[in-house]
Amino acid sequence: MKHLTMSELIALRDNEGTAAAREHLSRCEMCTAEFERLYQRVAALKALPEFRPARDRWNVIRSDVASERRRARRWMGMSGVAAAAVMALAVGVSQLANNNVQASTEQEMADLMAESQRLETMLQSVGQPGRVMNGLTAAAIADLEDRIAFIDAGISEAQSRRYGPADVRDLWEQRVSLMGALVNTHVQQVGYVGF
Amino acid sequence: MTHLTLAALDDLAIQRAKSGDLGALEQVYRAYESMVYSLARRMCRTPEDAEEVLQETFLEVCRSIKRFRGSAPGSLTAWVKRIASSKALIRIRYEKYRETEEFDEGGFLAGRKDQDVGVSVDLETALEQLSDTARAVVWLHDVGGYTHEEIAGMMQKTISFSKSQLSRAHTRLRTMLGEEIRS
Repeated sequence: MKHLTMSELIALRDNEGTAAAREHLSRCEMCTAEFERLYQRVAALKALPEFRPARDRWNVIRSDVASERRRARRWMGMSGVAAAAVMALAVGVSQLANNNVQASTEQEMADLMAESQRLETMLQSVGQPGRVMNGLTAAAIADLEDRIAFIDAGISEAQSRRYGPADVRDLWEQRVSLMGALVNTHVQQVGYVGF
Repeated sequence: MTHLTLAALDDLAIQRAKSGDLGALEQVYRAYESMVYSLARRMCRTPEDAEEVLQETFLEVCRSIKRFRGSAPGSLTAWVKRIASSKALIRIRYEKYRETEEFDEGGFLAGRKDQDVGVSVDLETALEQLSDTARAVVWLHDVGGYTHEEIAGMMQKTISFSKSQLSRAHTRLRTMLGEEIRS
């Protein structure tokens, strides 16, 4: 008698076996025993204990994510300058057309973008990586960076979905405010360490 | 270190994680750390490789969670598991132990033949004796619940390859575990 192969037994377990294989299984004691062993082996595999990593990796992951966000923010800041230049040109054109309300909003946005870029430049001079700081300051900086990254995501989305200039301006306003807070926190930290 | 369970990871935490909140992302990490590390340890050869997979998985989770469409912990589990499996498979593909990957060409007793016959070992040891690919297929199919089609997709191989690896791996496990071999 030809018994079932391991492939056929696995197929039967996965409900993919042929009628002939199922028929054989129903009348062959050896194959039934083999089928049962297969079930037991899989059950034993599922019952193997979980492992836990020897080291906590979260701090490394968090640090990598924060670095990626900083890089993205810098890129956003640089694109902001280019956008500000385009916007300033647009503002000039629209002013000529006496569209005062929209021009005013766009001018504000251009100013905010320029201010955001100025703060980015300041941050690069004071926010040196690896500088010693206390835990509370580090947490405050991380929080501000998270909030800025969140705003940046909002700006990207607003631009891609063509939100109104007023909505985008509000986001830039929040970004400038958070950037200002971030620069201040770094400046205070530098002053504290210097003292 | 607090070990959070999946129960502690509610919809609100998932929404916060999707908005990029690092505190919520840490909650996600704590909830799935053991699951991902265990999967990686079973599929990869060394604890160091498994730690790398753990780290790469959660970096990917942090980067991509905004695009995760579900909101319930169950669907998040499947999503995280899928990323972890892919990262582990990539690790296996490029790791330095590639020379042991002769399982497919050399038959199911290739490699550590001397340890296979007449020696009864525990399941943990037997699993370690399988080639990386065979062990990955066993784990993904029998424990992870992936279909052969899904495994073939992840491994960039055919469905027949996945089925054949699983069948040979079980034959070999049965031998190593000292289970009776039919004549």
